[in-house]
Amino acid sequence: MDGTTYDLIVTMIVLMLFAYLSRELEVMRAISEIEGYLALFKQSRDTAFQALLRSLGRFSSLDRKMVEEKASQLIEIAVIFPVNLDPYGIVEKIRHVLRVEEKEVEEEVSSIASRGNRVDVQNLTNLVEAVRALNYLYKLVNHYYLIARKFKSLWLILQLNALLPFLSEEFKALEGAVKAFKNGLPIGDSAGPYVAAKLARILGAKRRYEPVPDTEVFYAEMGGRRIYLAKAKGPGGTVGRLDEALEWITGRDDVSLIVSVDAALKLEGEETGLISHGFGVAMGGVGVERFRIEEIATKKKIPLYAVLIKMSEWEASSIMGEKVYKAADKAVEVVKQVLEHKVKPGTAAVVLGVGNTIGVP
Amino acid sequence: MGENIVGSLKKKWLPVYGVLAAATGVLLVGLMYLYAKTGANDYSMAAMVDSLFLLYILWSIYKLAKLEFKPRKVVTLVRCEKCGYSEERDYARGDYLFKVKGQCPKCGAPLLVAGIYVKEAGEEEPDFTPLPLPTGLATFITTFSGLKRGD
Ligand SMILES: [Zn+2]
Repeated sequence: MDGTTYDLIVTMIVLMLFAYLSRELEVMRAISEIEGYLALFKQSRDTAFQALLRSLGRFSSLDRKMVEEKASQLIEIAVIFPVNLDPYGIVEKIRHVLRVEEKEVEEEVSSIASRGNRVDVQNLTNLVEAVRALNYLYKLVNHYYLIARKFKSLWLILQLNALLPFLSEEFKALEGAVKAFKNGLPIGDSAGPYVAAKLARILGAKRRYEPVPDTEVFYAEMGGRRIYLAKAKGPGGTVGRLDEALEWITGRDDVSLIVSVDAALKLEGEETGLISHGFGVAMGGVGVERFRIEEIATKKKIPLYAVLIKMSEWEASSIMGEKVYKAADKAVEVVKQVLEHKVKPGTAAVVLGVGNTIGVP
Repeated sequence: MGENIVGSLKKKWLPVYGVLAAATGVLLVGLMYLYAKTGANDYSMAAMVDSLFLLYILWSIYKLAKLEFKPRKVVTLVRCEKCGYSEERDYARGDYLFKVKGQCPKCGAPLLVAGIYVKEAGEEEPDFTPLPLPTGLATFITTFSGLKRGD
């Protein structure tokens, strides 16, 4: 072997070594990034839990340890969705499970925070839900991270790494929610109920009903039109039962239009506060209520009109921003115009202010 | 990011980076001095590598220094329904929509709370991305030091 061959072999080996090293470095970078995010997620979860403890403690006559114990139980609650192998009638089943969970958690919260009033309990229940979501999300990410490490799987690590930006959006949104619920301040999602409440005030609502729990219906007249405005009953954090309220309204009066107003997720690059029109029911969540509303509307052939206020996920669940507020104010006028143009005098229409009514009485 | 986490990140990392930057800086000066004295290429190579390190650290310091907490203030908008006069006030605990808050300075009608929202100072969403810190070290420190984040 002469010198040239020897050099060639060495060069090849060095090149291969570099290729190997660069991949290892890439994995190490991905892992360290995941670990960095995980540490932040954990911290975010812990901070939120401490905030929950403080909030619960303020209204509780139990001692600190007891509160902590009960709170940690609350944030570990799981909701098991019904089997969907045979989807017939599944919506009612989901509604049943959710209603039971909602009631039980609220009762548990009110037993811990025994000195708080109804509004406090509702806000605390919302807070519990946000912390629970944070807790679950953190554990899930941690689970995938540990699995990826356990099997030393490059692809699992890279997949998790690629998901991090989306996950941190989620965490940001929940962190914002914790801050808002803790103080009982309106969030971006409250834009829907805000529009309904404001409209009720502008139109000089004559009557106010509470046909179903946590939900209120205002009756107003506008140029000979009978307008029913339904929203969750504030200022405690709740989304109410708009489907049942609508059922009640359609049972009383002949409705010729249903307008739903809700915060809608904007696409990245879209302006916050953009108001767009649509057909159908503007409503998030699991879809149980939307299903009912669509069913009622279809059965009675009532047109469904939607007014959407665009915002990001973070804006929807954090304290209402100025842009969202201004958009909601504008949406009040938009809904008014829709009612003027699409509802003939002498007929009735329903406006649904969809969303969490926290901070909006 | 909250005010506290930005503060504690800076407090934690600026000294570390400062020391690192100083050490690499001193090393660089030393290497250049040796190169000037001996003219050996080894020294200039080492100086080059060292200056790359220095650049990286300076860049990190720059990123860290640029990180700032934009205060987001919650305000209560009060409005007179009669004459339309409106004014933004600091949010006070217990404020709610349509609550009567004093009299209109113009016409004397009651002032109502028309909205409660966050005044957007920087218009930016909070940044959640961890800093570009050296592998492993960052994780170790963030995990075990338990940055205190209050509210
Ligand atoms: Zn006035």
